[in-house]
Amino acid sequence: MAKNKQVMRVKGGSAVQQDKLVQFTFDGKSYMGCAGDTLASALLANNVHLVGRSFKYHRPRGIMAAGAEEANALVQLGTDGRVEPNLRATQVELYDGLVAKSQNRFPSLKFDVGQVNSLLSRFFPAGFYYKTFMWPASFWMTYEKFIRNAAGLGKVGRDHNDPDRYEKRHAHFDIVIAGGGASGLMAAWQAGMSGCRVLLAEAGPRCGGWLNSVDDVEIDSQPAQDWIKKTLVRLQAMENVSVLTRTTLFGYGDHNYLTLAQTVTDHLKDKPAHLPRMRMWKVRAQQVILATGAIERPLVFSGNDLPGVMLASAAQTYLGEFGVLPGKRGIVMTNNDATWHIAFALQEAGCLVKAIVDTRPSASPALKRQAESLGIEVLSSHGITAAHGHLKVARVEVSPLTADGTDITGDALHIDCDCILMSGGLSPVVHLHSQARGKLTWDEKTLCFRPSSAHEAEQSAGACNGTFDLQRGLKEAITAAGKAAKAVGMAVQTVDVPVVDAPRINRAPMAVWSLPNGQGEGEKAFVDFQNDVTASDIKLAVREGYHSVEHVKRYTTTGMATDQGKTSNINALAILADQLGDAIPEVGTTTFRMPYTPTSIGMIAGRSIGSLFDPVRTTQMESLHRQAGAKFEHVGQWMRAWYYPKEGEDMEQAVSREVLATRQAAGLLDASTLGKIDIKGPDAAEFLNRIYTNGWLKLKVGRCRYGLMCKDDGMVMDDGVTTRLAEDHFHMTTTTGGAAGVLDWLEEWLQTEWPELRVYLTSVTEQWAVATLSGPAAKDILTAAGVDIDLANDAFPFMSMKKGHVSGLPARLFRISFTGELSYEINVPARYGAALWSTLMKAGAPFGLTPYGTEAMHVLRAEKGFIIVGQETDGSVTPLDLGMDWIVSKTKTDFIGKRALERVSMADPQRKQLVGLLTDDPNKVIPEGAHAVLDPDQPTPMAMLGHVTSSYFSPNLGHSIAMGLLKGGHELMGQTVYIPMLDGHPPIKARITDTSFYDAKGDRLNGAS
Amino acid sequence: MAQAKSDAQQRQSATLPRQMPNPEGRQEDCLQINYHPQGLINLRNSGDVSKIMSRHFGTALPQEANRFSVSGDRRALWLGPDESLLMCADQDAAELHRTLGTQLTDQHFQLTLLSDALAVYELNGPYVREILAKGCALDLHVSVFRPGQCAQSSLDRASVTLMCEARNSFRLICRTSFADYVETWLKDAAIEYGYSVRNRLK
Repeated sequence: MAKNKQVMRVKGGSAVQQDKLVQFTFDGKSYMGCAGDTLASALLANNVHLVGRSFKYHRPRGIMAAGAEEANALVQLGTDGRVEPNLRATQVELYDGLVAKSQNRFPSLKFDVGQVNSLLSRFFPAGFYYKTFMWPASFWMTYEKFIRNAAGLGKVGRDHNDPDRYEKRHAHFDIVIAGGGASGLMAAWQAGMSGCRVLLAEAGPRCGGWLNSVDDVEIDSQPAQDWIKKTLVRLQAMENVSVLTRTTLFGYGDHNYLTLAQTVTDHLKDKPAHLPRMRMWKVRAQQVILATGAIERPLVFSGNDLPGVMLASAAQTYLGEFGVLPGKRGIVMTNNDATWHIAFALQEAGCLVKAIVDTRPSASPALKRQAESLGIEVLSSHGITAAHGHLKVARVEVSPLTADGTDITGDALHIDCDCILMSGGLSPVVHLHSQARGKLTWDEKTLCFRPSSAHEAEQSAGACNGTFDLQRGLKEAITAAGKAAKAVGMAVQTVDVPVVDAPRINRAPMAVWSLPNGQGEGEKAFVDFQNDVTASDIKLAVREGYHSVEHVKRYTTTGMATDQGKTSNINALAILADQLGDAIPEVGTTTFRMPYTPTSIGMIAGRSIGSLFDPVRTTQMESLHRQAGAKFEHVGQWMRAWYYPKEGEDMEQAVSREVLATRQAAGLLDASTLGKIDIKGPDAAEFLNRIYTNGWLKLKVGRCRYGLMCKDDGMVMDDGVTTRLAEDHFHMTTTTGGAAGVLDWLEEWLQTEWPELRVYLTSVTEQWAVATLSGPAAKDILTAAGVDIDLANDAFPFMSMKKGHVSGLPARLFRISFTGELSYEINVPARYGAALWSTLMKAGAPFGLTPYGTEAMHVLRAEKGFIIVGQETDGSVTPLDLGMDWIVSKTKTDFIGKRALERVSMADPQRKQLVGLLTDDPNKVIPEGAHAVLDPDQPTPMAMLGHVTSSYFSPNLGHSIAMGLLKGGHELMGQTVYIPMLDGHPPIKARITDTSFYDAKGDRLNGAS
Repeated sequence: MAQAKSDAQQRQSATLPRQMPNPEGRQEDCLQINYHPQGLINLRNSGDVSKIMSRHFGTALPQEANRFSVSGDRRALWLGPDESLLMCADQDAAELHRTLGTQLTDQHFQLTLLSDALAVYELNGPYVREILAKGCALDLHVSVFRPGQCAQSSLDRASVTLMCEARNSFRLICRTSFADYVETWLKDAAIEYGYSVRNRLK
């Protein structure tokens, strides 16, 4: 157990329980913190300032902020699968046993070899990567490996699966409020009182914002922190208001579609297994109120990235919320009044403020008097022109400045210190407003961009609206919430504006962003801390001709790190504007993009992983196939029995056995997955006549017909057998994978093109379980199973349907065949599917009935030359290309695809056409997808004829068979082609044939053997 | 949903459970999943069927979109301007299918038996809305999705029809081929609250 050495801890701290110690580890060393700490506050309490190395130059970096804007203190948390890199230490809540590591350092934080980049920094100017690695272009692949290795910050837990659960959920609210500071709470109170459904999302573990770190503010005659607690209690009592802490609104989409990240268990030592680590909220809000506060800007000066240099407001937070001092001897560097109050608080808490350095010629007399009474030296019209130190700030140079702060007028003072607290004024957090395509305006008085007009139903209130005065912010929140409540149709009950009693602070800063460089020439003055962009990088970019803010952003990468330029954007703009001689509003801003803060990929995946990644659809007979030892394959979302290997059989042997058994005795296939559509209405036949390429008007009741349907471009889209159940009633089948698409297609034509047709469509795919009994013994097996239908060929001919019973089960029997054998597709209500299968298998056993899977089905149909849509076709194949001219009506006035098929080019004899291929060597099976050429000795690249679409060894023929789409294939009948092999083997020689390899006359359909 | 919107009082009710999530309240019956065999008939009709439905089904079709009418164990769900789903006891479906077919002679219609095509689950428990909200983008708030309402939507990657029977009681209809997925999904989504399965399809 580590000793408690929290040397920087002082009394107080509204968020921490100082009597509750918490142990944690940073870079292998054990420390103690307090319950309520963040990792950053606990490290600071232990006087640990050096917490990371920077991205490009590997410079030592410390903690500069106290919230989401932290650019430096990125750490890696956890071990094994729970490793999470690039977390802001300022937002990591401490728990007992937390393990954190610094990043981007090797071998250690204090001695890092990558720091050589810093010494070589003159070779890493703006646009370095563009300039260096773009030549020669072909070398990029080589460079990339090194760059990738050198760049990046933390490491992901690559060798482990993430053990945590992540949830997602949808929600709808009348009003969503982002930010749980005083304005957010006030807005929630007003909206809640109006009866709206309200969600208040606060990113941190508690509401209250900056009021949690001050004790000189009263609201309604009580300490501000008490007012916050009371308001929260009131909100919690309202059934219609939800307050979510640890929840960041990170993405703002169209029509107020908001994405929020809630961390559920990150702050817990013991993480209950049933709880998700994070929950992503997908929220639709009628109205949004942004109360996201403001972020303090750093000042740009030489060495401003040294550990110990911190935003003044962050120091205020560490003192007020956590009871932690940023150092023992501080320098306050500012251009505004607000920072003086922070200096006073620090001085009173025990941090010796050695000087308040203010760029302005004078501050208010009241402030000066207070500084004097506290014994703080004031240096007006001065600025820090360099900060020095090794791994931590130790000394500053403070120089007198011209009235505009741009130049040095005299010799520098050297002051020892261990921390610098800087402030360049406040920037409203306009990120979400900007994500929502809201416009910004430059406020000349407070020197910041604040929202001007909104694109979505969205308002800003309080500091994020540029209203830094608490009293006015609360009023604004009430007004915004009232307006929002009215907009969602609620009667507004206006609540009273609480009375604020607080020190009056003039928030207008002086327009100083970047301080002139002192004698420490060569030290860097950072603008974007996370991407290591300096003031001179921006100046160089301008000299090199980059003038647009968008170009400068990309060239220098300022504002492009994971913090999205929270602290850097305004300073970068100001420097750019200064270089261009323009005003800041003329230069404009870049767009803030989502996410507001980085979110875990695991949360975005949610529960759509493993067995829930995609639905697996199964038939009623699936468990029987499993019992029979079937192997399965995915067909669309369906799981279909692929083949049924017996002990010791490989796939080839199993398929061969199944194929032979089906032609010699009988086979049974689970065809339940075929798409089935019930079509009914007086115009149903006319409808089919327009959908399919062949004629349907004259089909007799009880008869079946095969149909091809084309897209309007004339290309084959789907096929299947459709049966006329009654004059106005049809049963259509589609391919397994095409079912949903075909139903959509049919509905689209009915609803948008042919609304006059009286036809209704209903999917009945799952209503029927289908077993296809095929083979010369099929009739005998059905008879043995018990059937009340006359199976004689003339009573029940090929391509007809009968209703009856099979073994007592109500059934529809379709005499159709995809194998070329005598075949019955037996449809029963799905609940009887398993019973049907078992009954048939039992009755068929004496006849040698063999279950066969989709692979044997493919071989059997290929022996017959039957196509499979999606295998012989790919969306670019017409019925004529398939040699199926017979199915395209010449007499119908119209059908979908007719016009396209009549185009001259469709009759081009050089189109790719479906042909059979018989190899010279009967045992050689051509790989599917292989290309065919006429002359294998021609120079490469060879003139390709086309490719092989299906290829199998046919056990019935004892010969390899294949089909392919070859250019002008129909005219090449009988010719020899060659299929060159990739593996160096000699080309396979094959003869172009008809596609019907087996029983071309179709004698076997009626059971002839 | 227009009616729900104008009713301000209804909004004054729980937006989310008080504890979200709910580490303490994990009990077996926070969600009960119960597959319930149902007779199902899809009806497409082009003319007035109110008399026939009242006489032969027990209740007329709902007049409003996304509502269902109830008579005993029978439900008639509005699925579209000319499409309804009739729900009855499983053993009644075939006879009902026949009877309605003989009655609907004066108009263009389609009656399709779907008892075997669709699976109906009864989902009960205090967290049913939270659990469904994990996969369904509709507003399932108690003030919006109220008893007697139904809607066709998605539950994550499955198409479903949801029916609100009571505040904490829903029926979920999906294709039987998606039943495995839906069951697995529901159980997984309910892990943080606790669940029990009374009856399964397969």
